[in-house]
Amino acid sequence: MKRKFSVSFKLTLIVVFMSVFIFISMAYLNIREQTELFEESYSEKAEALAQALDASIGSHTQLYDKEELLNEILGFIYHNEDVLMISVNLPENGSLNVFVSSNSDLSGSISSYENQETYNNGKIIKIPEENDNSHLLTVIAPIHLSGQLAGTYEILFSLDESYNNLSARTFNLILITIFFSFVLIISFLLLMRATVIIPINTLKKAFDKISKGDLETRVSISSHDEFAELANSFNKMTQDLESRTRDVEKLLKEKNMFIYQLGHDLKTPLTPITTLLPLIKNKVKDEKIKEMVDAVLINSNYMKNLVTKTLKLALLNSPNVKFEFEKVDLLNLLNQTLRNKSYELKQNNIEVENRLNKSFFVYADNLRVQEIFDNLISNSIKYIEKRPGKITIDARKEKDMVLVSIKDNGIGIIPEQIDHVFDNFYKADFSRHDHGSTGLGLSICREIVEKHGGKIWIESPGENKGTTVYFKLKLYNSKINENN
Amino acid sequence: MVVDDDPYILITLRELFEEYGYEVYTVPNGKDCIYELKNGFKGVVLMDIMMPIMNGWDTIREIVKRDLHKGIIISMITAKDMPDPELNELREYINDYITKPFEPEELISIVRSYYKNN
Repeated sequence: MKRKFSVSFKLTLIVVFMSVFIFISMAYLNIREQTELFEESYSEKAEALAQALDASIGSHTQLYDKEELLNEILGFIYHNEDVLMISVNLPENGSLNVFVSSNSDLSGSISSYENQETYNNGKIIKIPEENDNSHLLTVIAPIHLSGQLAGTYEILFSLDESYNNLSARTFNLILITIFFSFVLIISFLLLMRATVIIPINTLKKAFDKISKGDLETRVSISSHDEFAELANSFNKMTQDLESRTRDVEKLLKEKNMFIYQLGHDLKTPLTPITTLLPLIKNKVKDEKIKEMVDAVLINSNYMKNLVTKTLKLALLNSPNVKFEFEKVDLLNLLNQTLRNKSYELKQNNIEVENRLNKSFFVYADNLRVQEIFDNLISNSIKYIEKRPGKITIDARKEKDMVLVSIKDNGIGIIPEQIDHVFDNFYKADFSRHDHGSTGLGLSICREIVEKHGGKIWIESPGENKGTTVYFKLKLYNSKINENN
Repeated sequence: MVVDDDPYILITLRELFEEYGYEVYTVPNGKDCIYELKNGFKGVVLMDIMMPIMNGWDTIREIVKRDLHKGIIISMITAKDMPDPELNELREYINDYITKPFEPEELISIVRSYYKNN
């Protein structure tokens, strides 16, 4: 399976998203808090200033000179750079008039309504104002002279500079937050890597190794958490798997050894039986005894056949078996087999049509491929009942393989049996006491073909419609095969 | 000459070859085989591999060592399917490697061809 997104990638993404979210919300809250605090403290400051000013003016009871009053006010706040304008409003003909203003340009902004209100109830009014690029604060406060309300004054503060200071501070704050977020992300990822990613990768590697057949793989994770437990379970599982596989392998080996030993031990006692019986048969004159010897001879030959074929199959299945791979000419091999079989074929009135008109070179074990031909042609001879019989052999190239077909006009196979013909000891008709067949020929063929990296299968249109056996072998390729 | 520790194999091969008109010596071990060779046996030696005291390979080594291999043809006749490494080592002194149970006709034709060629 192809991996699209790794766990570490996903975790990184999650951590980055989380950090960015936390960072943004923290920064937002922080800036809002800062601004509020700033505005509040500035407003308090402005109020305190107004009160102090009022008290200062109020102590001078005889100060009725307007110029002096303005100077007093200016003198009080001259050090405050945020002040844009000061105006003093005194009553004249029953209403407040601008008495004096420090900045004639801004005198229009004086809000007479609020001043009137302050003049009526003596309360300080603060009006914050905000437009595109400036923050303003207007403070309207009463003037008391000799303890009596005498008028109002209005101070217009510009908060821009303070705001600029504030945003510089906020910017620093953002930088610091980014830095810490970054440190947080990195350390979180490193932590993730150590606690999650590395154990996962370790386990994954171990699983890969197991699936490749290395059952001795063990995992060691010493983190004392769920991963360590998982590793523990994994190790237990592999250990079980390993010991069970060992047991099964041992049993299979023993089974193979047993079959081999049995077959082997039967070979020596069979030798005198199958060698001496024909000699005895020749010496016997009595027809009845001759018949009996014949029965024993046929059966002992069958037994010999069974033993040699079983041994062959056991050998093919054993891990020690070695194949002598070389460049083999199929046409040559087939002609040789047909020559060996010519007597048998003639005896049974079977005609062979060999359609191979050229050599096919395969990379194979010569003797074993000959055994395939031998077995398949013997099978065809065995299962042809029509006379004259016919066997057609053909071969053609298919990519890097050669496909050989051996077709006969014999008794065929019914569909229910076709899946079983390659099973060990399988015979088409169990009730038939067939002394020519061991039920191992096709099993041997399949073992040989598969050990060559090829394929063998059988097709039959049905009973009495003939059988075709196909097998594929790898073509000889000088580039590939000579380097091995 | 047939060399085998199994008396029934000795009987079998003696009967088989006598049937086809050959003179057969049967010996139960490698020592007796060497004794017969020293006494001047010339012809085909069919040698079993697994024998007590002196196995087939050791016997052949001894024959070669004593320079008794001239004028004889040695064939192994054994129940072993997988050839021992000794087969390669002693290949030049061995003509055939026949496995039991052999086809009687096959064995006869092999021996016949030896005598025909020599």
